[in-house]
Amino acid sequence: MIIANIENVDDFYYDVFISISAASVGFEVNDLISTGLGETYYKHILNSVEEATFLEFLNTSKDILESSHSETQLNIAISENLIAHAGMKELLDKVITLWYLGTWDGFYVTTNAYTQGLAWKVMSAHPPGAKQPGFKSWNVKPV
Amino acid sequence: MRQKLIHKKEKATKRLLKSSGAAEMASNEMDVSLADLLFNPHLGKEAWMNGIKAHSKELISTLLSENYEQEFDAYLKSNFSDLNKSAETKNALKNSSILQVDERAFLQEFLQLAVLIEHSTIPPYLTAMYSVKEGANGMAVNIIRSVVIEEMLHMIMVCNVLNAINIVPSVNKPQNYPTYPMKLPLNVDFYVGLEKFSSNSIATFIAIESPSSQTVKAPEFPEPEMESTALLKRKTVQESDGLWTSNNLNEFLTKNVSTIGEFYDVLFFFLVIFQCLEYYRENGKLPTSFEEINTGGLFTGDPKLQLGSEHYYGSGGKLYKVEDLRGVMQVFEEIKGQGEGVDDSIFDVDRSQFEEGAELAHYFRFKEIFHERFYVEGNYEAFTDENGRMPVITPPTGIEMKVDWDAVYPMKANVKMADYASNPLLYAQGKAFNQTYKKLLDAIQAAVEGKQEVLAESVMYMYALKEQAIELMRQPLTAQENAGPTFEYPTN
Amino acid sequence: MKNQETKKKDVIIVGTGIAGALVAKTLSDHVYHLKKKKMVHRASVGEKDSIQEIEILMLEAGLEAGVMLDSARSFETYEEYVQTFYSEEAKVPNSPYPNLRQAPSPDVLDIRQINPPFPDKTGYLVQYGPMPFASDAIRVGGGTTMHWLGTTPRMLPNDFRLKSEYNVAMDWPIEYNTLKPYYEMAENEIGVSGNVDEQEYPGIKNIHRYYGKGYNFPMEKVPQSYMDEKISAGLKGASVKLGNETIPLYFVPSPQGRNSTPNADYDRSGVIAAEKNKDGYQLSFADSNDASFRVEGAVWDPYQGERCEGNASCVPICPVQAKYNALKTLKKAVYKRDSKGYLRKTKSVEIEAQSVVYKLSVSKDNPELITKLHLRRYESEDKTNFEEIVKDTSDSIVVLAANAFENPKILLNSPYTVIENGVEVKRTVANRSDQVGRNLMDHMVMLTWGLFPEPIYSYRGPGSTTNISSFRDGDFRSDFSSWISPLDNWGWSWPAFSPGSDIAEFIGQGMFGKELREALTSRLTRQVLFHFEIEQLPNADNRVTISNEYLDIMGIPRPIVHYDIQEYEKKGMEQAKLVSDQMFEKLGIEDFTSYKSSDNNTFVYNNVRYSFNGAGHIVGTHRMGHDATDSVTNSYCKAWDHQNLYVVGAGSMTTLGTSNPTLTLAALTIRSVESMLNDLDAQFNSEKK
Repeated sequence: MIIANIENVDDFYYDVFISISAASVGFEVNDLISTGLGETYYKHILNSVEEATFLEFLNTSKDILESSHSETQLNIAISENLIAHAGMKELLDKVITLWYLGTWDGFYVTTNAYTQGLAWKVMSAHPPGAKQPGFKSWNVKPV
Repeated sequence: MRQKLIHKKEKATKRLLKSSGAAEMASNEMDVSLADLLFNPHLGKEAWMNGIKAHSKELISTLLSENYEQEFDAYLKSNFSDLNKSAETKNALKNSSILQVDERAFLQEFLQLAVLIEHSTIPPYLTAMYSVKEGANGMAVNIIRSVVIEEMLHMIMVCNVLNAINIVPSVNKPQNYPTYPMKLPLNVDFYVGLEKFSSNSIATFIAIESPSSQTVKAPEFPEPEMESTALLKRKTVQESDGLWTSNNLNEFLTKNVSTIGEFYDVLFFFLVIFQCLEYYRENGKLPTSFEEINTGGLFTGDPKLQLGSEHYYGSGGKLYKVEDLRGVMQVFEEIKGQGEGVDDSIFDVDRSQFEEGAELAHYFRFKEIFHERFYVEGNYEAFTDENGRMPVITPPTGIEMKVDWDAVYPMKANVKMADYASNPLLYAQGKAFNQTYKKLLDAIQAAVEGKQEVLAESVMYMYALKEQAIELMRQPLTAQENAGPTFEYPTN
Repeated sequence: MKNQETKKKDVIIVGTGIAGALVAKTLSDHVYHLKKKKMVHRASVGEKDSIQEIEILMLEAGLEAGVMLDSARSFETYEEYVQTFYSEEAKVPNSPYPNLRQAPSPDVLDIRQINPPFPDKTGYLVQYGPMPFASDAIRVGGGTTMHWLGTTPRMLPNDFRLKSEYNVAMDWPIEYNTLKPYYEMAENEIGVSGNVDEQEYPGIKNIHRYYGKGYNFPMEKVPQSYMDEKISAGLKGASVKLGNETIPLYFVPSPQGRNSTPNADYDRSGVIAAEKNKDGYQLSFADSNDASFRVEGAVWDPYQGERCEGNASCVPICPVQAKYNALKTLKKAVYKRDSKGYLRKTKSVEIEAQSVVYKLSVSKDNPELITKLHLRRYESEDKTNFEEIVKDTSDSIVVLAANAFENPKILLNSPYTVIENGVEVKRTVANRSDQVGRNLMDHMVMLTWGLFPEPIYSYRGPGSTTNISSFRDGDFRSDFSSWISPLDNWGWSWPAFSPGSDIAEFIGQGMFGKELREALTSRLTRQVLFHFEIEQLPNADNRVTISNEYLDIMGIPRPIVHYDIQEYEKKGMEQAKLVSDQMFEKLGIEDFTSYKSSDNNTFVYNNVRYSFNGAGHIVGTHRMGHDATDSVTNSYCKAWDHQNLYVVGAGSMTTLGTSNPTLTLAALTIRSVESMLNDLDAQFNSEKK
């Protein structure tokens, strides 16, 4: 799989982080960048977990991405190399939760993290109190 | 409740029709009488322009009076009574070339220009608003939001005017799209563009809404890639030999009209003139009272097409229906009052007017952001003359408004879809935005064509637009600059 | 101690929530006309008329910033609330607002199971139980309307006469019809959206007689959610069994204090004016040729929030203030339009914030006269040092409007002694009936939840736009509770902490990528929540008391709460659950409801476990009644025992009914202003002589 080059951050590991995140949450790289929080999350993890653990996670992810040439291969690789590996799964679960809810260990990483959770997108809604869709919008099926 | 920004000016002395046959009229603007302006076949272009400038101003000042109808009647009488009496002049009128002008086509071009002017402010205001990072600059965002909604109101009201004179308005065709950066089709020296929130872009907004372009510092914009859109090139009017041509109109606007307020004054003047001519065609004489031209004539539109206040909310002002000249006056007054744009206007200093910040005209609201201060609770004694008035350029001196000029996405100015060509995901994202914007314009178009219930949908597109724009603004384009909404006509 | 020498106040109001704000606004819209020697509405005053303002002081325990009502400052404060809401992990009702040590608030996060006889002291309330009281309130400018949901059904006629109709509880001192005109005024002030034609209630044969012939709500109904329409379509014409009865299901669009399109047929003017007749003052809508409803947007910008924008966060905060909150009324109390139509701050209504009122004193010679009001004014949010202030109230009307915990707390903390038949008797203010603090009630909210067979896209729109009104009244009320069933638009967020719990569940199963996304989509778009608000009857043992043992940081007693539920309510909940099961079955909803022994409010009834939440409907602690022996106030909220004391708010309600209490408390409060005007009239006229 292609590890997308993110223009404004000069860090290959960041690109890996975004690409493995996209594969793990089931969204496109652009959807994650659209949250505006990629860098914030990346830095937060750097500061929150053992550097060695995060590096291992990123190196494993890099190998997974580089060795997979289809989505099926990618999913198998994630299952075998991250999910099946207790330490890696714990981190992956936290990363997925971070993107879906904006929380790390139950706390919002920044004020905006709440409003940028992907959970609201999958339910075709919006975070309560933000990104309001306008009068009468709730009366019709979401488009 | 809005403050009265417009103050009555001393009226110019009335002139009667000069003896015909005079060659090129002197360039002193008041030397051209209204009758000359309309019917003198020997009038030169410069005199024609000066005449329009002078008479549109005079007409507007007439309308500002408390009992404007009487004043207006007097104005018509003083200009037209003699013409109606003399057989000689009656004959001259009959053969006048102005009667050959295709009034509807002329007004269509003029009013669509108004639609475009109103439209052209919307994407820049929206872009600046969207570029502000979440949670920052709440008050500034509120201010821009309230202005944008009023600009949409203005656009719809101009459509009401078009419908009133039985011309189908157009808002969603490629030619209705402003191309940025653009210069307003007026005598201004600044460019309007899609730029992030900055003191530069706010300064431009102040200039757009400005009562006088000289008093506001012009921000720096790159040279436009093309001569401001199709504005000046589009011609719906059949060119004739007379002075009343679309070319001359555009030339007039770019030379003599420096504010949006003046633009509407001239537009109204043309409408009055054409109503007078319509009256002449029907009755064989020129009108001498407001009532004679208020209805009939050009006003043959279907009243059912008018959008009223029940369809509007979210900002100040009213959505006026237009069925006659009086309705047009209301619309233009509303647009100008919210803008504001009559030169040498004075701000009436009354603290209580500032109590509800939303009631300030756009110009002043933008100034509040620029100066990071509210007018409310300010002390204006130093700026105030013995009549209790202060110059419009007076900065706000009230309580502080927190503005963080750095809490902004670094959007590339006037970004185009072409900039996204190498990034398919980003291209799709940019296109999706433009499709939503098109849907918004489609909804407005459908509404002004009679499907009024569709206007409610535009609300949802407005909100969707915001989220799509912000997501674009978070996409890095280069190491320094981010993507953003392009507001281009979506193509396949 | 310090006696503040300021201008004499005619009225002192404690609290800036909806009750206090309505008193301030309605009173301050009137002035004393010196020539006519009576109170008249401002709008009727000529330029040359000599008038005297009613001087009003409002005291607010919350922060100063919370009562700043000018555009710039009120926006800044409100933005802070919104940002706080975003960053709080537990987005409970109180979460956006300052949690003050100097004026603490009951918070749902503080609720714990209780192990009697030991009280739970986690939060502000000292909870003796045995059942924890499950609702919160907030002490902030604008009061708890800052986070109310905004649903505004009126009470039903039978709600006012439970004793005569069903031989339970107690009848009110007034009938529904007495309150009807004031309901209209409350609906005007709050700005209620709704459709009269679509209202349907048990026992109400003619809805137009119930609402009043030709009556319309100020705004058209708030559009009902897509989910509501799916559910009502699935149960169209359906009935359920309740005991031996078959009860048809009515799906009614909920009237609500939330902005929608103004109703072109609404014919009341915006002016509520008092007329003096032989029985005293009477409030009514002034005649007006251009009666139309002006939608009230945000306090900082009247054009923002002119329509509900679908933020779906009504509780705890509407970011655009499309939902009514009492700051809107408060602003109308403090700012009046001048002859040019400009808003001007009036000097006759003052608000002093950070002022915690804790005690009243009576005159030694005349215990009917409240002579002093004691408060502690703290310096800032960060500092707890305070100034002790005493206000002389001998010539003032005192209005307690501090909510159903604070009002009784202040009264119970105001002891005095009288000599009766030569014997010294210890009393507390307004409490000859011993009803102060008693009859604490709340709706017990039982939730049931499940998955709809197809996506219904919950999590969109105002909290609730439709309710099932079928069980609001009926003969069963002699046996068990009635209830109202709102359909909730917010998925399982309340009972199950969705979407967080769903994500945890699925990643726990090893899901990731597209599979995870699809599972979440399927789960989250189909979540339905039914909601049963069970009426609780007044019970003298459910009560607020105080003790010197439990003081807050300012040395003021904390409310001690004794609370339990009875057979009547338990049975009501059982019946509601049976109804829920029938609806689930008819709709093909997969049931996910689960009640656990670890839930804070849980009990077993007929071998089945039920759990419930609070509704935030804190009611009954200073009820109105027929005489000084059965109640704290008369039907005008005036204390039986004192000549210059009113106690307003939901605590005035004699019974709870099945409606959300805010509209009713607003109507009662507006009505109480008539009595205050009578008192002021007498006072002004005696002074002028």
